[in-house]
Amino acid sequence: MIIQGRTVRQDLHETADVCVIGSGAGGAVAAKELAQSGLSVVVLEAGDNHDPTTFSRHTPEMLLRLFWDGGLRATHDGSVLISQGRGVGGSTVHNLCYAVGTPDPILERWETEFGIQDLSPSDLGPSLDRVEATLGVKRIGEEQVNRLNQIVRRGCQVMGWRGIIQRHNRGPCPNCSAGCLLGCPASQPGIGKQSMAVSYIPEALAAEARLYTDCLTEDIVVQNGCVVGATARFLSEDMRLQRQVERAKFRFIGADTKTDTPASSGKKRKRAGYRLTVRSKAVVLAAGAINSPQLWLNSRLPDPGGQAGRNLHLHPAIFVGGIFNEEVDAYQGIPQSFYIDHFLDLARNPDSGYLLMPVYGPMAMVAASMPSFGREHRALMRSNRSIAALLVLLHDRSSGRVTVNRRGAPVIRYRLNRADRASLIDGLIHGAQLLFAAGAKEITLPYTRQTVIKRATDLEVIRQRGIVENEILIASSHPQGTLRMGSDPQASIVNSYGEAHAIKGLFVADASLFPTSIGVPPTLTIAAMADRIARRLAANWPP
Amino acid sequence: MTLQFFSPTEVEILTVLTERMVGTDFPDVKHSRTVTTVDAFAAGLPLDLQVQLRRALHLFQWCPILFAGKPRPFTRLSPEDADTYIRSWAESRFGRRRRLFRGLRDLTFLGYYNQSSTDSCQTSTDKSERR
Repeated sequence: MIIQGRTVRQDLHETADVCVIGSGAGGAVAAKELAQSGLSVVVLEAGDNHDPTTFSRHTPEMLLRLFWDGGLRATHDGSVLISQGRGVGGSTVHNLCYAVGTPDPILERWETEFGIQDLSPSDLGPSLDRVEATLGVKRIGEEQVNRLNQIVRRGCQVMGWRGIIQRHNRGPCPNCSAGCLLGCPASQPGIGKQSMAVSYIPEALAAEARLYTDCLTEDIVVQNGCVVGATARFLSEDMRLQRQVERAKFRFIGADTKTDTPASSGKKRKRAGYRLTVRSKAVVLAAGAINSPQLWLNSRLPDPGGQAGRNLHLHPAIFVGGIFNEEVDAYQGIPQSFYIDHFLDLARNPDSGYLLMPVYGPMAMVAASMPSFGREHRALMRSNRSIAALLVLLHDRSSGRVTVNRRGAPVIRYRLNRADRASLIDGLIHGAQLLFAAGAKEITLPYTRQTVIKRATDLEVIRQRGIVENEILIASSHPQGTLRMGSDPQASIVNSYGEAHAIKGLFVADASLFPTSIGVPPTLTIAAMADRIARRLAANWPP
Repeated sequence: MTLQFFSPTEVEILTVLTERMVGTDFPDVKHSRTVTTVDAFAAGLPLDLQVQLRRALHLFQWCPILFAGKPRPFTRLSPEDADTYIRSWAESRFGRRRRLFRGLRDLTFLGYYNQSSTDSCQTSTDKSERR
């Protein structure tokens, strides 16, 4: 059953075995596994339950609907833009469906360096298998590799680097386009993007989980060292009405969009800010690596080692674009299917390296990834049909921190260390070399000043420019590590099975768990870890 | 046009910014739509970001005297002076100025290139140039 927060007109009280906070890659899996084991489950989700058929191609509208802070969430100094999904399904609604398993060397490192038990590749394997089966993970067919990915593969072959066609959690994609990054309008069970919203969540609901949307958790309640539930606030009606006005306005200015039908009859409600109190024997925190530590800190939960919010890794990523003489039309087809892992050798070097992956998105994103402004920028935008772009995605060693300000909002601090800056520079140079090898006539880089490179011999300019905050666009979609696992309560927040060292019954089941950067797209790992934690909790019930 | 967030002064700043950032150099029918789109987007942002956005626009409007030696607000600069002034933000050695440049630039792009199709790259004038 789904209860829409905007329809609630009174304070509510719930009693359940387990309260799951968040419905993304971790929360959805935990909810489904726990509900199917026979436990009563309540899921709290801060965002909407989106109807994919209402997803439009209007970028500003979709940023407001699908992302925290309208897609403008950033580090404290503004140097890294952090995309995080908000709504049922979390970031799995807007991600590009790379389904990459957890690298063995990463698990082995976590076991040896952080003392994590029962998390060897063979231990996590069954969870990964279950997740892949539920999400319908399979390798992208050759006929689905679009022109952009073909060009990148061509360049990779010329350079003699290692690259592969990846597996995805997606079914057949009718009319697939780069707009996929703003949600898949075709998404439904077995078709299009297999986000949590169309896979795990329906199964959790079928097992009688109760899902509250528009319901922002504000406090995790602990008594005598045991978790006893959580309190949340339904989003105010004023905010709901305001968003409806926005959507109507977007429609007015020509966006090809439909609006969600309000569940109410349109009567204006008198009050806002109704609350939900959940009493439960266990709480599974899965609000993502920014919001989970935020909630931890706002709830003033015990943290003997002062570790909550620390150890933030972001997988910082930078675009490098190539302009070709041929039409690439990268907006057609699946945006990412091939990727190059030649520079990510985790067996030899488990804490550094980077991936090169093709990328394309909405026009506003393409515009933001181009240098300069005015006529120079416009000249580049006129070439947009001939642009093939790569993303250098860094397996970062740099570490940041999430804290909260006086109003309880998250403050994200993160600074690249010298080694990571050097790796990003190497990645940009390698990306540019690949694009030249594939036939690019010019390379563009997302510096604030004009940066167009016309010869492979001129790539040293990247080293001269370096990586300077706010001079080059850095993006992140994979925050992780802020409530990390480990055997030492002074150096970690949760134990090997996701349970807080200092609070009985409180579990973490999202990317916050990761003790280090994982180096690859994390969705499958988050889901598999949540599967493992939830199954163990159910098997050892009560906690 | 009916707006939810921006004041008339802010609309003027945003309109000139859009002309300079997008690089059409002439009034374009899409500029007013850009402002309307950015207005609707801004109205949906959290309060903290709304406050930052307003501050950024007004700071940008009133700083030519500091950073370009021109005793006029940004909206009264000639196109050439406006571009020089914008470039001083883009290439500043201060990270906060570069951040503000990038924020305002990308906001105008979000409004102007608001559809995920390639049509956004063609203005009406581009099309008439081709004819």
